[in-house]
Amino acid sequence: MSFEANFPYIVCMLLVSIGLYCILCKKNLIKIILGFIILSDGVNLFFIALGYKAHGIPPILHEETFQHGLEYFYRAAVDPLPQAFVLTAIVISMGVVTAALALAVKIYQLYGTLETTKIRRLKH
Amino acid sequence: MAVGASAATMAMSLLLLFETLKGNIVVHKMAGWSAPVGIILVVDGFNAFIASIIVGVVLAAAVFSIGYMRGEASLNYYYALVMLMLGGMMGVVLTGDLFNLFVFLEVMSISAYGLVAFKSYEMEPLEASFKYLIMGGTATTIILLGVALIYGAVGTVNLADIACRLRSGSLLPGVSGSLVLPVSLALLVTGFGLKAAVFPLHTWLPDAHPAAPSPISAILSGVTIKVGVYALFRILFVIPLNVDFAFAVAVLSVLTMTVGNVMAMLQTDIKRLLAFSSIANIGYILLALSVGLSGGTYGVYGLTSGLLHVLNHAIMKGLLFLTAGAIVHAAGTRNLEELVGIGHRMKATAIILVIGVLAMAGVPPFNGFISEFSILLAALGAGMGFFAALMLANILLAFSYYLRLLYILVWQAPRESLSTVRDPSPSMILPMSVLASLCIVFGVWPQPVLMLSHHAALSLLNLNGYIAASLS
Amino acid sequence: MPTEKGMSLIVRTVARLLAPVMLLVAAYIVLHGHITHGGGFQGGVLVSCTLLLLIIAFGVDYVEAKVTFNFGQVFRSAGATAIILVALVGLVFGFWFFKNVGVYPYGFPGEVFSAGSLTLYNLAEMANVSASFLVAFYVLIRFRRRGK
Repeated sequence: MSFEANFPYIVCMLLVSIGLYCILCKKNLIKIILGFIILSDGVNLFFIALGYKAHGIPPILHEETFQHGLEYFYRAAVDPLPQAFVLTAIVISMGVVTAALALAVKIYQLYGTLETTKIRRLKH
Repeated sequence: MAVGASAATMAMSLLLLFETLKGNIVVHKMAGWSAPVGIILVVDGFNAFIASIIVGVVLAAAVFSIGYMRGEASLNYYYALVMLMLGGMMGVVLTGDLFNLFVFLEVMSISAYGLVAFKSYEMEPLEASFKYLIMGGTATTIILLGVALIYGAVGTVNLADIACRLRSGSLLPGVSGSLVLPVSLALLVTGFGLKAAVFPLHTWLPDAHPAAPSPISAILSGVTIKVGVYALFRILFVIPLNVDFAFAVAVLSVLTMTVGNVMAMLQTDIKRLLAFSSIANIGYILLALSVGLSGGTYGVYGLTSGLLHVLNHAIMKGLLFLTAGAIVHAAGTRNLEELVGIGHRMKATAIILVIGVLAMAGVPPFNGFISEFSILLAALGAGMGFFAALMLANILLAFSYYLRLLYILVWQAPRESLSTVRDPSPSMILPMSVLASLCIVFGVWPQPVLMLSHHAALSLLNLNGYIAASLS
Repeated sequence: MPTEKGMSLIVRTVARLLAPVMLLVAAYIVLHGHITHGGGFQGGVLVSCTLLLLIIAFGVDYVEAKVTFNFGQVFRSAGATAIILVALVGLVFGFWFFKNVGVYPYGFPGEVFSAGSLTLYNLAEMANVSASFLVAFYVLIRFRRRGK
């Protein structure tokens, strides 16, 4: 496999590493949440890239696709399944992020700060 | 209403259990699309066994909540979240589709985050929930990455179809299976391992479980981490192993149980102690899993004992968290030093507590002894004598801190500050006493549950039947 | 910065012009959910984004007077209940849960009304998603106010 073919995957893995770095090393709750967003977007992008085909057509059946025949459709259409998966995954990460933001706001109300070094009263 | 719903689910899952006991595998095709195309629910003996455990514990916790949560604000959201979590757990357990499993895992986790932070006017639940959320969210994202890799390698996310194609070696063109499969398996094991609180990734559990309301702690510790264990069992048997995973799992299990037990010894918070002991018990179950992975007759035996311990630990830990909840509810503190001798004031609760703690410590007439002893025997039989010795040491360690717990709570003379404490209301006593009597019944008469878990282990190993039923 | 009273006249005028168009696109996406990409979720997100635009332009009080918090909650629950009900219809008449049944005569592929109960799913999902997002926006905005 050439470098060009693997380029999207490399970018995705870069995003995943940036996200993991943010989650592990940042001290601000909002930055941690941003890291989580970057991480999940990297994974989603990876999933999308799996279904990508160069010069692909949308996987929608209509009159024009019938004119070219189903064989052409099967070869040329991009894989719709990863898109459906990623849509679900986006919704889910949206839910997680909403919950995290709500918690962060609550924590801010109680402590007046978002720095983990100042609010970590839990034992490790 | 929540109690009614969970009772109905209980009845349905018991029906499914009896159906699968006949050797059948029940398949429900969502929207009528059959297996590799559509999402299916597959119920074999293994699924139905775990599902029944989940519903039983949730039912007990829901009944307990009536008394425990009285007076809290916005209870409608509480019960809605409990039902959502039940739905998520059932979905994870019953689905036959890897991506759907991920979706239901998130449903379960998001409602769990919400429930941990339910007392949102206190600081501890918020922080614990945030920690749980970030770690759990990262874990599920890692699981998604593993699912994506498997989809990219095999071209399907149906569990039976994955198993079928990997065994026949039909990967998509241009994929080197020897590289992709171990990586994706490692990602999946990491993610599910975090959900199951396996050693290096257990740090969320001792914060999240004590901070939640006690019925929720019972559900989280009793069954929610078992969902991660279920997924580990399923995944490790569906994806063929070209790496020696049995040894790795055994090492992880020993580390997990040691860390859990040692940390539990040092705790002064009753619910935190129980949470660490949950980690230790996950270690025991994982040891059984590694015996199962090594195959052979003792493999079946190890799986049987592991599944039996899943059942027993769900009952015992659910019982103990409910009892701890009753104590905390009455006394208003979780600190063991302030709870000295509370058993003298709460006689009924004390009896139940003694049963639960003795069962947890592995004292013979109770159910914990049966499963822990059989895990030991299975590990010995499979030639893992070293790990078995370590587990025995761990059980003795656990025995010491359970005795300390009993000594503090029941034996010592009560403190002055606890003189007004009384037994909780009957709606809280009822689920506790039911679980406690189950501890005794399954201890003195273990044949039915042994038979059930043996059946579950056999149907877990019966991959061909699973594939045939799913793809038909 | 969005304030309590909303933003400048330019933004308000543009938002007033844009909102009906956005709702129209949302309706298109929902009704064509079975033919093209999109569906209930995407349409619902668009509806809620329209409301978010109005919140930013006119201030939250203006929008909340017209679309109240409780209305959002009711709409959300109604959407979720409708999804389950339609799925149960599939269970009763089509034997499988979520089975697509022809609640009206099937048309030809490519027509708008050709999908059976799938259209109902899209509509219910749209109601659920748009109202849930709206409720989430309201909750987060209220948090911010109380924090001040």
